[in-house]
Amino acid sequence: MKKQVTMREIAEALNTSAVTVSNAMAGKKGVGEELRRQVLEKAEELGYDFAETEKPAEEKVITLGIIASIQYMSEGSSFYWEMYQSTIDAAARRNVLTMLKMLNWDEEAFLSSLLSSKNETDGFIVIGRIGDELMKRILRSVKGPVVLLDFYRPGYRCDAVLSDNYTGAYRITGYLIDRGHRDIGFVGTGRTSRNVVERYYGFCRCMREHGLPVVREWLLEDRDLRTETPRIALPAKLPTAFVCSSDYSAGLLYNELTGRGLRVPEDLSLIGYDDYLYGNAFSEKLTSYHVDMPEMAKEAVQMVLRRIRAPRRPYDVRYVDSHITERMSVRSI
Amino acid sequence: MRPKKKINQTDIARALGISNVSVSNALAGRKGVSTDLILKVRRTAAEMGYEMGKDEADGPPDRLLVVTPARWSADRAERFTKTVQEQGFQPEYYTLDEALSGACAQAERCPGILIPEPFPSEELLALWEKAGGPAVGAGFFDRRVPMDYVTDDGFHGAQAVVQYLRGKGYERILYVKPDADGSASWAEAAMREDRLLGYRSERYLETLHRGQIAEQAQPFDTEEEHVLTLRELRRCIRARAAEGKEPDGAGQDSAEQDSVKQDGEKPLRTAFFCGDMKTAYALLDMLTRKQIRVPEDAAVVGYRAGAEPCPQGRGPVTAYENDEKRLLEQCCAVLRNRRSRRETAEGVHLVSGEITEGGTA
Repeated sequence: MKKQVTMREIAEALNTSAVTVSNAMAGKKGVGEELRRQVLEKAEELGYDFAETEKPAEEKVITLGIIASIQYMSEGSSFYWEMYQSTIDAAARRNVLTMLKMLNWDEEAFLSSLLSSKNETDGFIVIGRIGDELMKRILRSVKGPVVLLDFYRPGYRCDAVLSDNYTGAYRITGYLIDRGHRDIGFVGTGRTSRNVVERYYGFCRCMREHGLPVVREWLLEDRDLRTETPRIALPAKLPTAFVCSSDYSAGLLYNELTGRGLRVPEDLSLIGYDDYLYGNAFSEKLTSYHVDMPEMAKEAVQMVLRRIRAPRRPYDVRYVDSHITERMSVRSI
Repeated sequence: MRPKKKINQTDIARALGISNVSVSNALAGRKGVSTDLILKVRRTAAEMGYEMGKDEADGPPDRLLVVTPARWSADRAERFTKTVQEQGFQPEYYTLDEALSGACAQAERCPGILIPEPFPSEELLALWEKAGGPAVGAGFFDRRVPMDYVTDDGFHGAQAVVQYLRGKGYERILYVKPDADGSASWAEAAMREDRLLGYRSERYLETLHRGQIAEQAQPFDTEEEHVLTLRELRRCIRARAAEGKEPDGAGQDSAEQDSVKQDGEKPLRTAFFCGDMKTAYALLDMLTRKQIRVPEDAAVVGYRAGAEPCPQGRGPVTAYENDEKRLLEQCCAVLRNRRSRRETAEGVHLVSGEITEGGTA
């Protein structure tokens, strides 16, 4: 059987490097036209099998569709708007183009628009939560890989990048305990968010590690599920500190407390999660676990690109840890 | 016999489905190549028997200081060395005392310190402060010491086990923890907590999906239902046998039984999730003694941390398995990133494992 001609042999014949030969064949910049012609001629002469040449995926300009729900994307005030900015930025650094696909209430129209524009995109990043049914339909019907950012449900056949809910909540709970707090509550609505549930367990982990009980009456929801409005019902007896599942709930709790004449941190300490400044003036005071959006976005873009190259890799969920940004909402006792 | 073909970069490129240029850059450790890719290419190159050219090896490999509580056996060090060398590092082993006394001078080409076993917080902090450079803890996490850590993901791994068992039709999944004997280190106890909480969280999330939470007054679970020690489980099985009932396992939660549709008198399919392999093996032995067949009567799934070896003479067990090699690779990647000051996530880096079937579920 005729031995396969390698790029190295072509390189040796022309007294150049295998790398140059590879570049020349792939039509990359950096190889002059004349040299490129010589390489291709020599390759033909030696009987190089061009069919074997794999055009590296980096050559084609990749376009990613970014899917986000309109409710999350009100400009300037939203955590997810910031996440979106980080994503475009991360994509740009990899010379990847992006197209925003905003989901409003008409799911059918949205899905059709995704499918009709399928030749424009090579993959998708989904920012924030979208409904289970729609998500499954998207995963079934779109061309190219999908990576979820800041959201995940097991059973989805796709990759995801999330902040490390469990470790983050463990850290902020530990921060309170290190400052003398023993009676600690938790604020968040787990019923509507898997992320919040994981944060709750991170909180539990730290409490148990220090032999502290998790007291039911200090587990507060931040939403009235019937009316779907934000609402925190304070218990009669308060702990000395609260772990808040998000800066948003910290803000709600802060308003509730100040409404009762209580001061933070003098009367009660709060620690948040997100480290994202909302419109609330309190956020400038709030010590919070930082969500590393640039790193998450970078990971997400990397994961889509990897999957474009290797579609059959096993699915992966990445958790991005970070640090606590200290401000002034926690008092040592 | 035909002489063995010398492996070249094209072969590596083909094997990985990437370009020759990427392979060349990766082997030379050039900037602009992701650490992930460097690791993958080097590993494949080593496996294929590629001989590094003069211009590829980045001079002598980087020193890596490995600091352990006590001196390792030659065997253990050898296995570890092999994996670390594949990542382009040359390990040097020191005990904590030696490291703290400055016996290992941090030379220019030393990218950092690798700590494969936990120390008490104060000692770890002292080491971290003395290091003055990047350090990574492998297989444990101490929130008080702000260095990098690479660990397996017990919390999500446990969730995966529960999902797996549900997918296989197990209606009752119990968590079995070891009888408390105080022998576990603080780090091991912490990792076990992760698995237990992962199990609890997934059960809670399931009830969420089944729409049951709306009825409940409490937004989160605070009880440790369905969690038993080996001793408690043994007692339950014995009690049921004494009552003349089928020894199908324990779990007295009648509410749970009511909520799950029962097919006549058929008992619920039961599975035991053990948070560590020692408990899994002990449970398997106990079930055998009680003549409970695995997996026919009940399933047993374990959780194997990275460095846990498989004991001699034991058959395969379905378990969530973690790969120590992957953990170490990630440690080396983190140290490289830190050294070149590339931005990367700080803190905890989780490495996922996977469920391998061993016939016990």
